[in-house]
Amino acid sequence: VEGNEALAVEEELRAALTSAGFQWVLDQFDAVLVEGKPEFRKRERFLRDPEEVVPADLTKKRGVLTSEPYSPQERLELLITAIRRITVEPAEFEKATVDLLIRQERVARVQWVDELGREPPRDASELELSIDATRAARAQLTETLDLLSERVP
Amino acid sequence: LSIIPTNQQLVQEIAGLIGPAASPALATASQGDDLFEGFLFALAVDAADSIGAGVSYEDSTGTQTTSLTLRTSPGRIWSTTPLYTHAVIDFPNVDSLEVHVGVFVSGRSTVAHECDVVIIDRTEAERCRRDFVNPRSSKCPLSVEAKFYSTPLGIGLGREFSGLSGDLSASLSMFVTNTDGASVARLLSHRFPVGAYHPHVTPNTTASDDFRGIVRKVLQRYRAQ
Repeated sequence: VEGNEALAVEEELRAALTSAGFQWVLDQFDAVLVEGKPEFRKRERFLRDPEEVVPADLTKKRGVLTSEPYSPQERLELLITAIRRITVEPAEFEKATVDLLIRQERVARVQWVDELGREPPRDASELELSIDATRAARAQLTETLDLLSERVP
Repeated sequence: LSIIPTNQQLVQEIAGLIGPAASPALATASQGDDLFEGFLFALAVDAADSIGAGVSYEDSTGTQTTSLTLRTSPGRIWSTTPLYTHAVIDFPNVDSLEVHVGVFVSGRSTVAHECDVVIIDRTEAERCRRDFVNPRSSKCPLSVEAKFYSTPLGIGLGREFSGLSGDLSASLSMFVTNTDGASVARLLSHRFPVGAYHPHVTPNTTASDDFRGIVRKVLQRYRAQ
């Protein structure tokens, strides 16, 4: 995937996330882009702040921490990873939480309840059902994301 | 003959799968945090169990229960609508502790801060429920700031944690995330002790074992004192 194509693919993934209700993922993504990619730059001479807590030797060895813009390919890779995180990891967290608590045999039921009632209670048993129901789609999505990721240099 | 899909076809397939593959429990960023906090709560309880502590669960009226109700937004330790659950950790000859998800804790400035997962002296927690006040952070052996993120962490989160920890007097304040962030790691590594920053904590990983290990050490130390 070349530079311009990576940006075009990013646009399409943005649209897909927005229409699936994941604007918050794009907000996090945009914040990362604004901050830029952390990068150490080595310089023969560097000015230290007298209050600096990082030892001078370390700065000399590693360089000064700065940032630079992500390339279109890096942006795309970040977005692919973000999609993977929001689709694969939650199911793993739900399952692990229930497994850990139920395994101790002191817990029969786990539910999440909003104090202000802004959303309906979520029961772990329902979450387990949803994990099963979404498993096939998750597996297929993971495979497709991997394929796309392999094409990003 | 296999047909290699074009990039366009892959993107279309991904677009069609995001909705069906996503957990319904993840419509907002805060719901991701709920899942993550629940997982860390379970790991903390498991750590207590692994060192032979007695573990039980009760609601905010002190009634034992096997049905856990966890918070999805920060709240007061004494709230009874609904009846939220906490874990009780018992040691022989040592005061008991409680593990809570998402309760307010009072800092050095007396301002209330949300602690995503927190271990509190049981005597302090009982007093707070009785007197309708927030627990003092000095009575917390451990407080955890949990961040479930889809991307690397921005420095703002490290800055927030740094400020928060400055006002909390918990024995150990930890920043735990499912992802990472180079600037956050650098900031915290120069300002906090080893064990304060836990990146990449996801199920069945070395990172989640490390987190559980630190909680175990905190509890062992508490028991020994």
